Amino acid sequence: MLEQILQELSRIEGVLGNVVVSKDGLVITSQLNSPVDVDILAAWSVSALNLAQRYVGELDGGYLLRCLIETQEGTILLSNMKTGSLITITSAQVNLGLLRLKLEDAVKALEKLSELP
Amino acid sequence: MANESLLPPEIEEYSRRLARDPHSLVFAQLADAYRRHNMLDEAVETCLQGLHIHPDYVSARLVLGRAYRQKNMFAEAKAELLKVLEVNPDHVLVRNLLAEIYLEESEYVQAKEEYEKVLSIDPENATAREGLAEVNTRLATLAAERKSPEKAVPETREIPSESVKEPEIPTYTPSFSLEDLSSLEREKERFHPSISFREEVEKVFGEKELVTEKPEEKEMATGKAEETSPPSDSTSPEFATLTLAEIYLKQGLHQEAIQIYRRILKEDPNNSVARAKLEELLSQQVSEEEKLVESTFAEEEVPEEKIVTEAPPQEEAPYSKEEIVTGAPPSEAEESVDRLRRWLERLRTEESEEKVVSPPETILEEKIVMPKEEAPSLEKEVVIPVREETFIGAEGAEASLLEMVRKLASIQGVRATVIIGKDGEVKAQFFRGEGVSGLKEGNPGEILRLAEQLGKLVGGKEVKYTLLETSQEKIFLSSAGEDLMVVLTGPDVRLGWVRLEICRIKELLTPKGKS
Repeated sequence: MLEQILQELSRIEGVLGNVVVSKDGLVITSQLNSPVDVDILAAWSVSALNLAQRYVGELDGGYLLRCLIETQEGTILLSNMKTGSLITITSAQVNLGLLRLKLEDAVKALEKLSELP
Repeated sequence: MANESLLPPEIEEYSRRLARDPHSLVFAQLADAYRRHNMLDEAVETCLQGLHIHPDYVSARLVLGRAYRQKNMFAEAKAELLKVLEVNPDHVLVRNLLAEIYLEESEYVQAKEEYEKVLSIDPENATAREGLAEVNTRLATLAAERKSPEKAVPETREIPSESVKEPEIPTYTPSFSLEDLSSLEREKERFHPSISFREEVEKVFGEKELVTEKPEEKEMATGKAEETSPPSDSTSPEFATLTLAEIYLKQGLHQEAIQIYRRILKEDPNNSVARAKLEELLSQQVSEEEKLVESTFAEEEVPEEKIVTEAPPQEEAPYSKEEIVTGAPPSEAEESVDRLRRWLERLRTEESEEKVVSPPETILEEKIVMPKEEAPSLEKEVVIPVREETFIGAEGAEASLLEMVRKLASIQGVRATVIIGKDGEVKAQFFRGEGVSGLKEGNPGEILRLAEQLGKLVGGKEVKYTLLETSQEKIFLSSAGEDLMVVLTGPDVRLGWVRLEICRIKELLTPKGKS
């Protein structure tokens, strides 16, 4: 089921891979098509999300949904979930609008999945 | 050398950068740093040298203007600030500074004008509001002194609105000294250099010796100023002179000026000056009304028919612009003015009962203070309150930071923008509604550093921006040269547009070697 959700995301053109990470920065599952150190990616991503949540909290900005880091070469999307986070890496050619919509569905599905006994 | 080592680090840093590249725009930052550390001669000198190379760099002119002001060189300060306004007429900081200078020079009319302009751009601008209140208090005091030469009215005294609307025109010799008169004269001459303010005052207050009336005013004023007993009714036509109307106008009492012009026309229907002035005033009023109606109904998106049905009864409907411009006979003009006034008063009364009986200061502000519920419609305008130290463009940038911030502010949904220097100081900021001190706190730089590490990890060379999306807002973080830019938006902002603008600013602020 988890793999299925990630595969659904990977079908979007430009998506290079997805990683699901627990709240404490450990990799739960990874589907990456690029040579990236997943453990470091997971750890740093969770740190970035925690820092961002703290920043947003100080602004009374509500619950952090995601953090998007755009570089010249592509984008990293860190989706904040109740039980962890979903990291999505894309190339520069991705349709970000579509991906954001799909990520919302994926996060809901992953959260639902994590609630199962 | 010993002195140099005592210089603040920022001055040392900017000096070093300027020494490295004498054609750099960093001279403005250096000059501003000098100014803030009260090294005013150095600030002026640095600005003048830099402006010799970059004469169009308005931020430097602003720094120069402020330095001159701190040196009490008001004329030079005004000249520089006015140059900034030529490029950017909506620069609220500059207008506030100008107003403060005018106030210090007792040029209340100009000060009032500047504050009013600021408030028309940024209705919530606290500096301008306080400044305007101060100007109005001083004007009211002056007016009271003119009316009661033996009993000077304390500044805090509340003058009933009625007394301001229908002032008694004294016919005795004014008690204020020639020195007082001189300061007022300076104000007047700035407005109408061709007419001596002294002449006007003497015409109104009855001093004959120096009276040299303008030909068209002569017949209106003849004999009126020489009467010795004060009139029982200030609205009496015997005091309806063009001069008096003009004084009312300068004090912002447009209704009173209109009344005076009406009376002049009643007595002399062929008075072309009065007619032209009246038409001009009525036209202004019509456009003000239109704005008022727009701002009142725009939020509710009321259909046009509804506005019509909610408008005053037919006999009290405001005069149409066309009718006024084409020049109605005097009697019709009078009727239209009455209708217009009644209609406006009714609108104002509906807004707030207090406003009708508020002191003159409030009445003068009424034109620009919109009721709370109308404020959102004004938010469509660009409002850029800028901190004291902010406005300097980074080295190599073609546009000033303020311009960049302005551009971002014009995007619908953008609530705030802060550009933070590497030392943590706010260089430029814009916000709507509440302040944005929180944007600077909370270590946004640390988030960006982590984002850059992540970007490099996945093969990215440079992070364009980092976007934090929450349930309520979106926050863009981006490094721009040595600065950090934080843009706070609402949930429904056009992300693509903001992103484009941020990337453009980033490019402008990043020194070419680094990009």
